[in-house]
Amino acid sequence: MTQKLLPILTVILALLAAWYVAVVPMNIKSALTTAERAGADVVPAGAKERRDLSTIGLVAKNSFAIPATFSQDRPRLPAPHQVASELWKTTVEKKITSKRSLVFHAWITLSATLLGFAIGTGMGILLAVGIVHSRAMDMSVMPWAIASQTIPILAIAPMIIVVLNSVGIQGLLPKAFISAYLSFFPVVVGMVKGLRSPDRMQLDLLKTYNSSALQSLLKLRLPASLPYLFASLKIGIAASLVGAIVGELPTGAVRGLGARLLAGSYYGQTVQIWSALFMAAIVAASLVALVGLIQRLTLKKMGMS
Amino acid sequence: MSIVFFSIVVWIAAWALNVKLANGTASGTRLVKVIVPTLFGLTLLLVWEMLVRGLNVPLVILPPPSLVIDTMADNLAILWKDFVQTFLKGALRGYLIGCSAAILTAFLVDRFDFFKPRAVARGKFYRGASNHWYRAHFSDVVWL
Repeated sequence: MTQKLLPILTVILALLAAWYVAVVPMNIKSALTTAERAGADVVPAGAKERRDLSTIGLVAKNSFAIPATFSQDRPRLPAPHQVASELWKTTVEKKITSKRSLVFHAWITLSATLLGFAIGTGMGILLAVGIVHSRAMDMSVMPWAIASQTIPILAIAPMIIVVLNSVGIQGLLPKAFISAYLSFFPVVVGMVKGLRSPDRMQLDLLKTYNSSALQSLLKLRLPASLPYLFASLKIGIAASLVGAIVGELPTGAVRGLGARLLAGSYYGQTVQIWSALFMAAIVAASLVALVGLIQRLTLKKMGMS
Repeated sequence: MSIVFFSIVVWIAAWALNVKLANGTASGTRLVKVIVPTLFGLTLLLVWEMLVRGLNVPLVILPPPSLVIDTMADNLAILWKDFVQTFLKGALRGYLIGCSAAILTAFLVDRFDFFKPRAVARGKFYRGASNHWYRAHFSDVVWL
């Protein structure tokens, strides 16, 4: 455990240090403007004169303003402790039913993510079974499944929402479809490989048993494909979350992590944007860890790990 | 309505042809490998076109592909500019930056055992190879 922890901690500390260092030049101009208004001597004087100067030079000449760059209300780049305290305030100190609670918003996004992930995984497995069993499907669908992933999701998300809205589908489902669109592809690719992973000998053995295609599928192909499936699910569930967040952006949603990002950028609340980003990362990491846990337990039980 | 019915007929006919091609004797040839997905894609566009016209889908909700292609042909100059801006200037540059950063990271990870995942590092430790850092600091807790 220690061997794993120490390198990870070192890298995190290095990232945090780099972040803190970056905060100073990013925020120095507005910090100097505020300080000048409060009556401090700033070199050179006047926000206009400073506008085109290099930020690092400004920091060197006005080192007294460095502490102020870490505690602004609307910094260009918030310091880590500002993001952390905002995260703490909006998760632990707020009731989870409150509209200001990040847990509340995360749940809105999470529910669309999970629904979309279920739809995408189901479609992906069905498509993979079809591709493995039908040569025509393999040859005709697979290139288009790959092509479908080159379409930028940001372009197609508003269209999906408009089209579904016109047939009367609103709320959770449109977001879930965008999630499904992103998560089905890794499942298709992984499952096609997984369902084909049994070797010739094993398939021939089942043929000598006179087993039907369905029996081979259930007793050999599906169990053999599970390690591949889990690898795909880990990619798919993280992609689902991205899909749900993107799905919230074009509708101007008022609830969900995507809505928090949107509102934050409307009102210049950078701390809010960063804390929503971190919340999304925490949710994604937890989801991937959860799939990983299920993977370990399942494969152990099946004697495959 | 007949146009909707016709689109279903087109779909079934094209699919039957694809099944025949894919399972036929020429199935492995490069020509068939190109024809089958192309036919599938064209059928998809054709059915889309017929459904949009047959069901009178409003233009704002879903335009027919013929209109999309028309608009594309009319705006080739603008699209080319967008292509240069997005792909040549943005995507390719980002691709280069991303790939070189990844290679640099890989060098770092390979050069310093410190960044390696536990399994790799521990394997080296057991072999007693070049991992004095771990030996010095963790020899007493490595079994925990």
